[in-house]
Amino acid sequence: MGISYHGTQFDRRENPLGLTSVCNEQIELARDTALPIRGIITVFRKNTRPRTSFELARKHVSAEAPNLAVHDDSRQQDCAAGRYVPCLETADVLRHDCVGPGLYELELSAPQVAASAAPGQFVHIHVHPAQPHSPAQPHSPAQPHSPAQPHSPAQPLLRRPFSIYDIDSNAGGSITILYGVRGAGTLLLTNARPGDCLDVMGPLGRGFTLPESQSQSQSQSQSQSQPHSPARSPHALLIGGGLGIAPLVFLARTLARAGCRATVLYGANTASQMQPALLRLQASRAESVRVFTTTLDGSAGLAGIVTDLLTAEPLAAELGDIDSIYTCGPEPMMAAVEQFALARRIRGEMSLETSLACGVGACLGCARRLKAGPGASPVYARVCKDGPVFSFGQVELNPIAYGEE
Amino acid sequence: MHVGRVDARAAANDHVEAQVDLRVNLGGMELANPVVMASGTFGYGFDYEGLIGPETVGAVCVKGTTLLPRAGNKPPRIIETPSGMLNSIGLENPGIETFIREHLPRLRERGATVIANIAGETALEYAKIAERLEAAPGVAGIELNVSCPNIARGGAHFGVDQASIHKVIRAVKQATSLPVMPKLSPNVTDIVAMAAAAQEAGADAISLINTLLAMAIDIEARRPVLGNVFGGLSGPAIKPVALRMVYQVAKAVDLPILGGGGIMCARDAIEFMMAGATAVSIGTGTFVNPTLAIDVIDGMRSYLAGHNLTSVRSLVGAAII
Repeated sequence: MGISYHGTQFDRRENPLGLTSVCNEQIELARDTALPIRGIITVFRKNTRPRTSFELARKHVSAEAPNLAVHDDSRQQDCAAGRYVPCLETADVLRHDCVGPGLYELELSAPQVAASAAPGQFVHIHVHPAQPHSPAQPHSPAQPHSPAQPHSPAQPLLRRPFSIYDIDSNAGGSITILYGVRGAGTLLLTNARPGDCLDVMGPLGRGFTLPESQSQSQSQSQSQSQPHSPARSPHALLIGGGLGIAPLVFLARTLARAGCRATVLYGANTASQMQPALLRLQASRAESVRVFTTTLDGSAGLAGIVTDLLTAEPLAAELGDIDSIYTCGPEPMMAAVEQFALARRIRGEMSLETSLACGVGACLGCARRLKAGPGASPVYARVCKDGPVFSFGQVELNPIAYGEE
Repeated sequence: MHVGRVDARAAANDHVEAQVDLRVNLGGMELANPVVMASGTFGYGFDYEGLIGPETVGAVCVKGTTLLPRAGNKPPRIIETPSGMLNSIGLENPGIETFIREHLPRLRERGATVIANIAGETALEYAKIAERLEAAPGVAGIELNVSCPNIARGGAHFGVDQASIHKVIRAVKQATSLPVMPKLSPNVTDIVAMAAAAQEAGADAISLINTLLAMAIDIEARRPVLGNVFGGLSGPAIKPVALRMVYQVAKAVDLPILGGGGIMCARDAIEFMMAGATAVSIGTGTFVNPTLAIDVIDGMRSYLAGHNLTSVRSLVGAAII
């Protein structure tokens, strides 16, 4: 094709200004030589400075020279070593739709989060939408010595955690969350318009344990004797109540891609609340994800609560080959699911919800008591770091969920 | 086409900023910069790994640590309030031996400056912990938590009574040669009297302020929100109170101050230094902006360069009249 390739590689250490000028040099070079430049600027970061350097540089470069990739060495090293590495991204709002009564789907451009997130993990969002391109340039001539933050948030103060609902690894990588308006934080979030920026931290927490190794070993042994048969692939039962469906949608789609079968039981108050999640579940491979619904008002599926499905024929008869159960929703519902699983010795996990402050395990504010023998002194786990996903039988559940938003 | 272009002015400024001296001495603790992570908001230094490391900041005040492990309080432990939050963690920690064995070596390896925050129920307990720390390499100083509002005995009881403060500090000073810095409670009538008692007892520095005793009520359940009923208020809501206390103490007492309470940006931090703090502590702000400490360090450097100041120490007490 005759395309000139001009590879560039740079090492810059801990100097945001230096980093920006490296970007500028490359952009200049691309312009002057009129040659397409494809190169990598490697940012070595001893101290992570995502907002002031890496993020700004990445945005700057992607706007000016799309062929130039900025790549974050420290993060890659951490990922390679299997270390727990959340990141901060200034994420553009790609789509924000009201999809039901007080219900929203928000899609954010967050390539780093999208690249490493697993089902059951969450993002911690600073819910104050910002207009794009006001990132405080430390040397902006308008405010030469202003040490103030670009945004000085007052209310609501803390970030809000949201389960990752879906991921699109195409087009740079985006994440989607599903949320309902529950308080000041989510109400403020509804103001975010496409093109605005949101500060996103993630992926955080411990996600669901996928039956991955099991399916791999199975398909390997099968490949020798017989062709891969869907009947032998692992069968997961996903049980979601209300907004608890959000992490299960990501899980169902991930399981379907991994060749597992997923049966989803989904309960909500009314049919209109279920539509967005149902659409996404149906977009998964239809043969591997089956969905059964209940509504309290009877407007869709079985009238009743979702756990009724566990004992209702004909479904109950089909649940004999379940390998694992995953659940998220109101705690009384999860307690019933847990009992069902423990009685049948099926392993499974639940995802808990609570108020969080730090989201990374530092503040110990989101503690939940672990199950222990009678009279034992209390032991607590952190929902944000040790969870939000816990195995059945691990955590003391509450009859009523505390810590709304 | 010229978005983000580095101009000559910025390059010159960068040069000036490199000359700025951010080092401070906090009662014998040498800090590379005046920004300290507040106890209880940064764990044992590694929870924010990937976003901000413990070696980045001037010092890390680790999670309040007791002689024996503590499970902490019954949840709910936190609740957001206007411009702030309440917490009643109840000093959940693995105990001093685990800290010394597991956390301290990692911090030392990373080159972090560590201030051990310790709490006890009796003066003797404080002294015992201090003695253990004396023998453990890698501790720059000890912050005495004499102000935790969230435990039934000890903690705040020491911090609201001059005689008790005096007793605890004396006991700890006798047990260790490390710098000793009591973290005082704002829940007192006269903060200056408490600081004066600390100075007289031989404290090397003073840390101000711990959280303000507070509560919230769930009107549907008709009961307190927090499992422990009361909690400590932190965040920007308390900044003016904290600033006032730092100013009063700086005027009256001749000890370096670690000042903080609701710092959310470099401007807030500079205010604390001008009120008389030698270093500043950042706590709740990190929950909102995990890299706040870095932003504050950058902002201080930029402020100093912009005002042709060479040392951050020139800000200390600059606003006291």
